[in-house]
Amino acid sequence: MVRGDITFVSGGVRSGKTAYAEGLLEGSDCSRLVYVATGLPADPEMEERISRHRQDRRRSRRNWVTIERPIDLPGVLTMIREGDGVLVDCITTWLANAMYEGFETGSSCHEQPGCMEEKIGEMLNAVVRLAETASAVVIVSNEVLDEPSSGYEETRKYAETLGRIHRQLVKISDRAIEMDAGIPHRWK
Amino acid sequence: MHIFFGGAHNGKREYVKRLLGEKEAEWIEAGGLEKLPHPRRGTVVLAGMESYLSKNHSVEEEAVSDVMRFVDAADRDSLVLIITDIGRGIVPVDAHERWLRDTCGRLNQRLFKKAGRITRIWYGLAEEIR
Repeated sequence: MVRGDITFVSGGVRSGKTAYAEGLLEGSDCSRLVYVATGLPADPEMEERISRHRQDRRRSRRNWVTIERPIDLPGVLTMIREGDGVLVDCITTWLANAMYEGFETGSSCHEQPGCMEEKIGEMLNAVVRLAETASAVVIVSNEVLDEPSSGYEETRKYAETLGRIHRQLVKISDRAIEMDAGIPHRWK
Repeated sequence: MHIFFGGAHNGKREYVKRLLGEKEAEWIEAGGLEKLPHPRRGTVVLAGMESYLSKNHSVEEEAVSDVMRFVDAADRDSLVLIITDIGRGIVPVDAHERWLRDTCGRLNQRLFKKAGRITRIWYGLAEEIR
């Protein structure tokens, strides 16, 4: 079996990374396009952001199927068919959701020993397995590590973990692209 | 002088360690130091300059001349600097953090001018800038 291509796309805020990632799949010969959204609409601004992305996909020349998965990427696996093009948007949101899972019941994942390692392992494994069925998988994330280390321990932990995840994603990817103001820079 | 730079947690130290391999080098993690040592002869790696400057300085000229003194005392051909890019985030609320960003930015411009080789690291991948 031929494994589908994995592409990692990262960029700053409003750098056009999602549009670029969508374009990669829309220009491909994938039979069906699946958008895996990790964002949860927590406030009106977030709702608007999500609806803007939704409209972009509706206006697109190809049809997109949207699946909302704040954390559980392995759960997407059963919904993917051979020949699909899958876009996961985005890892920064996924990490925040994963770190604070369990917050309501008094114990966030990042406070429980081993919880984050397990979640990250499952997520990376799901990406590889997605590519075993789908023709192409594109993972979108953000550039947020070019600033002084935060004074808040949880933010430091978030930054350190995000860096580690990005390095692992780059390693398993066939292509890795950094977006700057709409211009893709191919690192791999 | 060879500069490796990139965002935090991008794998810069790991990359330099792999590159040096078995080669003998003096590795200086400046983050916990109160004073930069006098560099030895031969290969010297300086990392963690940003937190060193943050902890020990608050006047730009003094911070810059402290680092430049170190750089000028080292063997230029075998000096390696690992620099974390801290200049692309939101402007910090804290005045000392703003000072640090500005100082590092201007210091980096001077260091980059002196460097024979510059490599940018992005999540473990390297790009030769010069």
